[in-house]
Amino acid sequence: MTNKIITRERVALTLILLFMIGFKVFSVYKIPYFNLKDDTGVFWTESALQQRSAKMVAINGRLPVSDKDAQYPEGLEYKDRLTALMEIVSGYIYRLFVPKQLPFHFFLIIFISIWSSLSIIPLYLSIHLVTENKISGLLACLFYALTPAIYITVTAPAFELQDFALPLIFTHLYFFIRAVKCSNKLQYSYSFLSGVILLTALSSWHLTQFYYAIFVLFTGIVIFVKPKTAIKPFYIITAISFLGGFLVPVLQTAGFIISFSMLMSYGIIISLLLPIKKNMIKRISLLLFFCIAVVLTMFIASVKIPEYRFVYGLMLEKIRYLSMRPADPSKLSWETLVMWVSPFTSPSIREIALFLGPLILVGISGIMINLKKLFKKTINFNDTFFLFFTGAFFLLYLLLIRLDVFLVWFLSLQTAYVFSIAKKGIRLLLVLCMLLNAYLLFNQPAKVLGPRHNYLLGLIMYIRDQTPQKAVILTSFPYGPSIITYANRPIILHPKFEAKNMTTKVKLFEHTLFKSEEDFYAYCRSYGAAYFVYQADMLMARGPESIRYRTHNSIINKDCAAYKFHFQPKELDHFSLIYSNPHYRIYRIMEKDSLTSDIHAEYFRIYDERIINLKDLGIL
Amino acid sequence: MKILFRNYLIGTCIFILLLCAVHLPFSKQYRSIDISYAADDSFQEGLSLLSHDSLTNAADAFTKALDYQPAFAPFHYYLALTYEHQGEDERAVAEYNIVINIDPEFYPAFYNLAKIVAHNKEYDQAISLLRRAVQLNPYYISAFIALADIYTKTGDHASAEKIFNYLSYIGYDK
Repeated sequence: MTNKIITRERVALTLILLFMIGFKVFSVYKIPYFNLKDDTGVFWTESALQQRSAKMVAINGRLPVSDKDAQYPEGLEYKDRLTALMEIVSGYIYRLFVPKQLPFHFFLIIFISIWSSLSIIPLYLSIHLVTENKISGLLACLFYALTPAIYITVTAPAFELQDFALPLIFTHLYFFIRAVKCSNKLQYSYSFLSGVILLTALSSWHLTQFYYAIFVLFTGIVIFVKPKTAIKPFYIITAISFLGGFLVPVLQTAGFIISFSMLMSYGIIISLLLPIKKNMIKRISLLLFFCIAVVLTMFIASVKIPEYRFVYGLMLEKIRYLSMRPADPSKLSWETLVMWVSPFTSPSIREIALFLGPLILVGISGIMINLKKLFKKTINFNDTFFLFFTGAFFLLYLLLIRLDVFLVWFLSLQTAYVFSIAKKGIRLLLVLCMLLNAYLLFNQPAKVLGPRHNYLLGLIMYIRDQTPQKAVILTSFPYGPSIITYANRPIILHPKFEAKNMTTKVKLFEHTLFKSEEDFYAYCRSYGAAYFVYQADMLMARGPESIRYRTHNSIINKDCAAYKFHFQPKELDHFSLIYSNPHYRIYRIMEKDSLTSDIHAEYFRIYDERIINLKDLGIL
Repeated sequence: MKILFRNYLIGTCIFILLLCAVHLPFSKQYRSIDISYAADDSFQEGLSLLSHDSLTNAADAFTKALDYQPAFAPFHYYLALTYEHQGEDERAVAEYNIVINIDPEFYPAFYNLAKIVAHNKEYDQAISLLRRAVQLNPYYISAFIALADIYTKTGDHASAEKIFNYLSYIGYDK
């Protein structure tokens, strides 16, 4: 009988999993421009670059240590700078096991749809572990599967690192609480599993470090409240992470062993091992180590590893301004503003309602149940653990919408506590909530990430058909991957800010656009650019995600390079317009004397200074 | 004991696989991946055939290009143009409508569509299409002339006169 129940639950869980995979694949398949025969422009920005890396693994069996074409001229250091685990795994699976009749880009969609959906397994197992109620677990999983937020990235369509890392993070969490609950011998083995899986997640997505910091913070709080708590699994996880900091090249380069989370971990372990019996002194030592970790992190972020400044800087500024951008952008640095864009913005009420649906209400009810237990002091470690994470990611989600994938998982887990209440009225209400979520899911407005496909395709096709094979193309950083992946031309800028020198190059590019043509020409020459892709929104957009906003150029004059690229191509000395559509223009870069008069004369209203009110655009 | 062994075994395997994955698949040699796009080739072939008036083959080439990129306006535009040259007005109209749907700023499509519509004496629709074309490109002389011509045909001489005044204002000499 028990076996039958287990089998029935497994079948139900498998059906939910299949539904999730099917929904993701079908959502991508029905996008108007998606085509099995041609992958041009299917993915956008980082996803496009990741598609290329995975394709290199699938075709060549290898990735270059340094790829000059992906970051001209110095080279993109795949091994030391990028977390390319997802590309390596997917590339090898395709190379070794998949019939080549299946188009590679469609395989990537299927791969990431399956992999990202696996989060449901640790969700079910975790619920089973904390509530010991299988039906609640299944219902919570169904609620999770019906929440629109979990489909956003894959159906964009995207091939993103977070979708690869999240199932690993959640599995690590499950094994951690399993370890805490177990007897001594098994405890170590589950801790080992938890640590190794966390290390895999750390090696596959840089932002896993952010999650790890919260995990360490939780342990710190537990030790602070109950200084004699022995969290042995934490020792093992820290030890494996420490080892990974030496053995995994990308973690080594990122200085992981001296990151905030690791410094905090050392502090917690040292304060636990201190041969002091008084709780107060242990607490003081923990606080002291926390302060040291903060100071050291600030030093490391500003001097040793500037890349950390972007994430930590953004978080601090978000907290400082309560997640609302100040009216005057000059109060914030370029480093903060370049990160303060979608999906690192805060969710609006509409987005919360649309993407989370009633899950947020039911999840909050679950939080209330656990808070009640906390105040009555009847709560156990595992419930506290998940309560803390749900609360932490709730607050963080209000700062960064991208963290919705974490929040949905934890909220779904909280719903299991509500499902455990065996009252008919409540259960009926919960079923209604799930139906409402299903309605939201199947009636989501079509949301495709990236610019308009038609114009981007025109740009890509022109570059791959009309420019020399090795011509270096300068674009803004989000567009670089589309050019290298679909036009096979070397690029100068891309959105992998963890790559060496990339932020400096991007910052200089965006500022030089609003300087003189000579300055911009000098920039192009210094990196060997042969062509420059101008986007109409470089000049026309002034919103909070625009280049003008983050370079503090809300008012500009007609002498700047961007103005000439937009309105006066004939006035340029070093740039010859060769292609134009309403969104993009391509310029050939050349010496002053060799400039030909092959100005591309096709007319588009957006480039006509006679019919556009320049004052409205802040142009003097 | 069995679980203990299984956990350590799985953990160790993952750890070894991870280390292999982050170290082994990297090479100092760089090999670019060759890509070829049939859509581009078919499109170029179609343009060449169209310029040589090989209309049936040109239509086939553009259709083939569309098979690879069904949502790219220029492919539909040239297919529509080929149909128009072949005298297959219905098919041309359908393709021009797709162009306008994909790219509402593709003014030559509005102009060509208006010509077909006007030929069928649907003047109101032709006027509306031409007005959109000249709105998108206020220097689109042939569209202005076609519009003035329809106004004359429909007896709206004042509007036709206005157009000619505008054309002389922007420097067009009849």
